[in-house]
Amino acid sequence: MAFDEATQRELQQVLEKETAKAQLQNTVHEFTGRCWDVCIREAKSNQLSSKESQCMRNCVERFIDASMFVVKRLQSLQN
Amino acid sequence: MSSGFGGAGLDLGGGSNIESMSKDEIIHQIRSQAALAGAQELISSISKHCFKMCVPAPGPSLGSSDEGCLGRCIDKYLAAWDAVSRTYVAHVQKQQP
Repeated sequence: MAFDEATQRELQQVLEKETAKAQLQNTVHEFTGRCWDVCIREAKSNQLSSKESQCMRNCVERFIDASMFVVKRLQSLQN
Repeated sequence: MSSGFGGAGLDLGGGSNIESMSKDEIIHQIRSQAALAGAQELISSISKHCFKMCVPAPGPSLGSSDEGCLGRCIDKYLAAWDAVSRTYVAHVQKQQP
């Protein structure tokens, strides 16, 4: 590998940025699958109804709330 | 399989070798591999969820009503992905002052 330090640093930054992006997208993939099962019953239309998109948003936010609740509860058990 | 980053070099297919690549080629590889992985994940989740919804009792062939349902389901899944992405990104941004 014959890259100078500045180039190595730049490549490192690109890799870190792409890794962070991939992690965020993986979370979106996971939430989409989970909340689709909860909120979507049929595909009579190719668009989300307002009820369905509200359900998807609530599902994501409540899943995050529930995860935070679990963390806080487990932390309180340690004390 | 070659031996990886060491002597034999990382084989990226298409005859390219990481040790003979320029910086821009490496950046391009990183980005296109990430995009490929994202697309594969999306294809796999759409197939899984839309097959379940649209082909509940698989027959000898895919009927036209099955295909119609799959087409709408794909659009809808992409819309759902987008809604989740917006909601999650907004949530993450709210956490960071």
